[in-house]
Amino acid sequence: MTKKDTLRKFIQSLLAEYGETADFGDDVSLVLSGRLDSLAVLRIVVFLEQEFGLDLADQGFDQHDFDSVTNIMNLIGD
Amino acid sequence: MPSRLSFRLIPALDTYPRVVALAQTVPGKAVVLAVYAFGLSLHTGNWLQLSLMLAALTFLPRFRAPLLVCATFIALYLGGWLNFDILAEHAGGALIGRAWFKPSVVLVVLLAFAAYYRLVKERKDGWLGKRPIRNLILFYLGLICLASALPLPATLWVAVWAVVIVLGKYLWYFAYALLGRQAKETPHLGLQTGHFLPFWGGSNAPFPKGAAYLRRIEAKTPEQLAVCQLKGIKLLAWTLVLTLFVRLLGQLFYGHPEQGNSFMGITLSLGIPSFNAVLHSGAGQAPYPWHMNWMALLAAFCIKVVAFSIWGHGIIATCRMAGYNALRNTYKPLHATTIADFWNRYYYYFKELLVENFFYPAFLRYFKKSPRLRLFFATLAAAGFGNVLFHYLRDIDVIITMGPWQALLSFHVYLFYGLVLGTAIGLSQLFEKKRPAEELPWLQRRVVKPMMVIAFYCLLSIFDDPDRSLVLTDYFSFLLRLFNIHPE
Repeated sequence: MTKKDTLRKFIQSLLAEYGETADFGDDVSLVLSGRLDSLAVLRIVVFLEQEFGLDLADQGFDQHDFDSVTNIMNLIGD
Repeated sequence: MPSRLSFRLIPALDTYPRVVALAQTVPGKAVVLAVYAFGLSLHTGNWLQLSLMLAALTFLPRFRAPLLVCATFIALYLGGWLNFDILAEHAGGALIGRAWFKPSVVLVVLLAFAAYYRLVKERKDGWLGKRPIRNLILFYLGLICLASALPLPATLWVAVWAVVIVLGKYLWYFAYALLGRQAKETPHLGLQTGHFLPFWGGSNAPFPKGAAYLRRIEAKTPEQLAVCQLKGIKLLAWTLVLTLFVRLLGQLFYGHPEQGNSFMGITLSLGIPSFNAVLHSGAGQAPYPWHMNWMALLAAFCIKVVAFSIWGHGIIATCRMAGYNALRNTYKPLHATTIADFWNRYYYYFKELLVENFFYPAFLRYFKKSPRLRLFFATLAAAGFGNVLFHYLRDIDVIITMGPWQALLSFHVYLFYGLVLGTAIGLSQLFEKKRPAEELPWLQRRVVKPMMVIAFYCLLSIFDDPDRSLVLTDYFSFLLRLFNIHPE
């Protein structure tokens, strides 16, 4: 399973918790559209830390970076 | 046929295709501007200058960024280049009256920040580049301590404190600029000065956030601009409705019919004492009856929420007219079903400032191995520590007058407020149900939960914006008097 597949699977489960069961594209807005809230973004951060060892402490934080699968992939790299 | 449920006090102009199309034409733009200017004239005294600036931004949207810079500096000039009154009576205060002094201080502060910003960008892996906002705040606190402690000559004293005042006004705008330094397509810092103390108004808390956010919400097509401006008109209309409402409340709560007070012919008044009066009534004066204390508290809280909404709506309405489709600062706070939700709905841009400058940095750094403590600590860092720091630095006049330490001591009631608020929001985030509010039964969603949240904030408002001549026990004494307990 690629990083992207792992990420998509996690976000799919997160969306399901928020009542969104439809499939979603890589560029679909997740946060700014209101599908996910700021607490969900924090869960994505924790997931990325645990799954991919991402450390954003020195990088700063912008919710826009978590708004779509594409944006998150840009953050963690291929 | 439209149902009764679809009735709207203010028509959703931005959803009418013909109105949106008309608002994109030259005559349509003129009408939109004229309607807004008329509404604005009922809302603020500087409506004419704001309307002229909006006209330039409406007809020349391609030049929005440089025009915004011009508008912001013109507004700063017309507003007297910030308030230095506290320094005017000092021995070196004559300096304040010199025409060149105030703009020079603003220029010095902006140039110094430009140098810092460049340094931070160039040395992003050094200690300066890794924590630029923390370093900026520490520098500011250090400058305050130095200005207070050093025996400076009168003229230099005034000059240094003038720099402190200006830097304090810009502090959180600079923080946003530093936050957005790595964002894609961040505009040149020179253009970002249009968003620093923008002409549409605000406080020390940037409305609406920084350049990176403004770029995202900027109208990019004529249609988007038309929709954005129509939303601005709608919000201003709502502001005016609320203004009438708050005046009506003022008459009903505090009017003095015997003195001829009336509002639109209404002379009815409950004769409720002001919150300040009931708060001070314990000190040597006959205390008010407990029910009157409650009435005064509820009336003051009610007026405060509505007046605060009016203030924020007026700013965001003009921001929308300038072509930035910003969210409201206050959005249906009485619909909040959790303590955290209310705060988000009541003062959105302040909450965002605290989240971005305190919550995320704390969340990304500390207690990574215990998720609940991590969330709670980060929330406390924002709603408690960040909140208190912001307000302590905002009241720079008090710091200049009393010195930083005495100013902090006199601020202890707000420290308590920040601690309680931060803890409550932290616990709310941890324990209040994450189930979407829409899934709750109507009575729970619309009555029970909002009432509990409002009761909490209403009681907590006793400690908000405290009178620095009182101490914490005075406030607790009032709290007890609400329940008919009269401590000796």
